[in-house]
Amino acid sequence: MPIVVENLFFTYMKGMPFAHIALDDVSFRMEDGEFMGIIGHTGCGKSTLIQMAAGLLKPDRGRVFLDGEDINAKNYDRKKLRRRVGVVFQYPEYQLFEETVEADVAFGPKKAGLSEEETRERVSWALSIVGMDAEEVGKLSPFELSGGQKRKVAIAGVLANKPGVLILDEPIAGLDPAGRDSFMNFILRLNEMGTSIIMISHNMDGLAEYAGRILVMNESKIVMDGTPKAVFAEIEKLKEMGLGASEPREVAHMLLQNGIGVPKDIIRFNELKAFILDKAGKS
Amino acid sequence: MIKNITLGQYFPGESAVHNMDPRMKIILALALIVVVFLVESLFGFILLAAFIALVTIMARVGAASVIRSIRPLLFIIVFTFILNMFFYNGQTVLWQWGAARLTSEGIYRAVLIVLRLTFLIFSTSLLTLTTSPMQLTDGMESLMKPLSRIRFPVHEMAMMMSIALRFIPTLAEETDRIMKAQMARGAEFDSGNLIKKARNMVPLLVPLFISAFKRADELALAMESRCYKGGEGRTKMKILRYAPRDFMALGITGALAAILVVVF
Repeated sequence: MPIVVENLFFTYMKGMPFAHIALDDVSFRMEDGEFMGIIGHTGCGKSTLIQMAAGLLKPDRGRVFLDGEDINAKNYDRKKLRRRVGVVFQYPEYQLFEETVEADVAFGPKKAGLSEEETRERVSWALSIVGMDAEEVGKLSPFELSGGQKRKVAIAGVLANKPGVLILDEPIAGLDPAGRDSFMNFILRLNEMGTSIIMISHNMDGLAEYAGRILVMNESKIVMDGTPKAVFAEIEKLKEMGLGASEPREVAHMLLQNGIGVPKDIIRFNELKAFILDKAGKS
Repeated sequence: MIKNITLGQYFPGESAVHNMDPRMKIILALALIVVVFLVESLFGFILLAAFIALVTIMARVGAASVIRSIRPLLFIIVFTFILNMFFYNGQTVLWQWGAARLTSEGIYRAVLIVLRLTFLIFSTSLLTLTTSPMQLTDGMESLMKPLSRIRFPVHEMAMMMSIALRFIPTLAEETDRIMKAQMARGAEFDSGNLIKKARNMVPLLVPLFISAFKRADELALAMESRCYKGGEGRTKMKILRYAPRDFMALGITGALAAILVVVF
């Protein structure tokens, strides 16, 4: 389901003394199955952009197309949109509300009108994707779980709708390193199963590893759009915007500044490791 | 979703009105309200309007934001206007239909009520537009101090008020976020009949309450760890002091009030 975003404009608190522009002529096109990262410092309009892509916020001007259909058109079926585009907000564990894990994950499918049988299947499928066992945790109250587990349940609640596009806003904030790895792994697995992923993140290492494309936002505009290698190659530009590149790329850049010729397309740990071993082996 | 929450309608700025002592502003706003209800004549209202216009200009908050403050009460104003117009027991009947009678006294009465309500809203919103919620509670606390002699928990009330005010935007933001998260999962908040609507609120209210309680708990802990133990012996960083301009404002408003009450 390609998403096409055309010339979006949006201003918060329009006409008030606190008005500020969140989006200023933003456009992009995303193909099926892409894994796209969005980076940019706080307040640059990332969250506004994804809310519009998910049809949760209407732009002042501009259009959003999902599968060629304008999602803000009057006769567009919003229910269909909800099933196709899933959104995981920051700290999704705050959206839990049901008495049991099962019931909470089942909220989406039930609203979509699936049968009991299908709903149950969806629940165990969604929980298994996030690495949980429906038999084991299904009857527990979500509020008894640990922070990391709560988040997994909340994300399972979004996945249960089997969205074709999954939008995530800072999904790994506050997770421990092991939690982060397992989280990124299941996002990758979903992507391999064909789900398009849009992920806002400050975790450049993760994006370097998994994303196929990165959008860089600055002051309400998209200023860069390309593969992680192409984007992180422009490390100085990123630093000017108060951002940075992945750690390996930062190290490579520092080495380069000290006269050691490291190629600009090294952005991952294993690439850097291979390069260093290669150098060490030769000298 | 949640737009333009006008409860904290403070309009930040630097002006003679902004810089006045909040206590004086509260006192003068109250005095003005009393005057509004004492004035009877047209000329009195013109004078009052001129005064309010002058204060608005001095405060540099824009006439639009003052006029906008009527909006939430527009229904009540229109309702009382109609009620007074047609059901006031006047003598000079102009038109009658069943119980509804249009009398010239009724029209006079209705116009008077509308003017009074409008001016009441204007003067209170001039206060809230130019005074930050924090200053407002500070002023109230200081003005109500004498009540603590009769064991009225003045400080506690003021603290509760400022905490509540402080958290309104936070909770509004949170509501918006949870609403969007649940909508993305397929929840609907604006469809169905009343019972269905109420039930649809559960996915919003449960998380909201949980996080509100959590926040309250954290706030209490943070306050206690900074040795907060109530108002007793607590000093203030910003001590309220009357400045010459406060007395000037008092003088001018007092003179206006005297003229209006005595002459008109």
